[in-house]
Amino acid sequence: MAAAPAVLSSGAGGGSGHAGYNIFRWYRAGWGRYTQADPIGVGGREFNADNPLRSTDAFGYAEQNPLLKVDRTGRSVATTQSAQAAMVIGFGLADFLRNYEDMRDANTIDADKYFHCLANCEAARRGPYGEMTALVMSVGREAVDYAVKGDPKSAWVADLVADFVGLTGGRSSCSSCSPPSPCKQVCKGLRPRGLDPKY
Amino acid sequence: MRTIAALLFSTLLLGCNEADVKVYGSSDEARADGAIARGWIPQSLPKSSKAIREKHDLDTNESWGRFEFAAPDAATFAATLTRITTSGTCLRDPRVEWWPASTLSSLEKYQANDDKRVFFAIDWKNNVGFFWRCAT
Repeated sequence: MAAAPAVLSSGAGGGSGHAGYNIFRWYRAGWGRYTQADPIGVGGREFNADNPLRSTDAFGYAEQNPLLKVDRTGRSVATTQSAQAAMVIGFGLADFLRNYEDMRDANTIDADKYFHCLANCEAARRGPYGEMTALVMSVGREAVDYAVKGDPKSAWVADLVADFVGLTGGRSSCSSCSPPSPCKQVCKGLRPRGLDPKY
Repeated sequence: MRTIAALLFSTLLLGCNEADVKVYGSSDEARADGAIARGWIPQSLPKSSKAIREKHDLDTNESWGRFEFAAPDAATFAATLTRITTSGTCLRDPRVEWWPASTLSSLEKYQANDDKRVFFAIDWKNNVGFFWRCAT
């Protein structure tokens, strides 16, 4: 059988009730569903613990979640690039928030640089979008300290140095390299005396 | 662009509340709370210190404080300090009601012998001291 062009590049699939061919299956836009079951079965999908029925619906499109997921061939589901980026940015922000909370909880003099480093390292470990998140958060943050809080230059310059130690240490160099050092190791030199060992 | 704007907004939120103000009845109370071990209150504070007020900034590592001490401790305390002629360029107003911003210049200034980033201004007549720590 000659390969037909994929009619669906996302879940939109046109507004009519006509069926469209999506390589392995026909999709009927009016129904919002495929007309055949998934040829690789329901095992080809991620299990959704929040909605088990969604995971086991062999006729649905992209697990009924077309904004975040795409089914390019009719037999597999992938998270869209923008959704992946949003997730990584969200996780990167969570890295910053968690380390900020730890910094406040530790409440130890000179510990800020250690936690700045950890946040940047952990976010950068998540890949290019994590690095971007770390860079924007760090530079933006120090700009706020300088322009809004009026912090002394020595303080925000030292913070920026700690940010970049974490960012460069967290950046993954290549897939075949030896495993990167843990972020706590990367930031060890910035750890102040007296900081609780749990951090 | 919206993502970057949202990230920048998040940075503003993270920078809103990094100053902490504490009050301790005695140096023992401050020690028990860990304020001396964590570095916000100088080690060289007299043992008899009371009515201690302290403010610090987690991001700049600056700290400011006021304390009262017993007269018999004055000589021992003075031995831990070195007299200086300027107040140190690092001093910023902590903007708390107990900080003597207008009268500080009339007090004798000292630098702690055990930590060169810590400075004191002492009112020996009334046995009241103020300390501050430079940003790092």
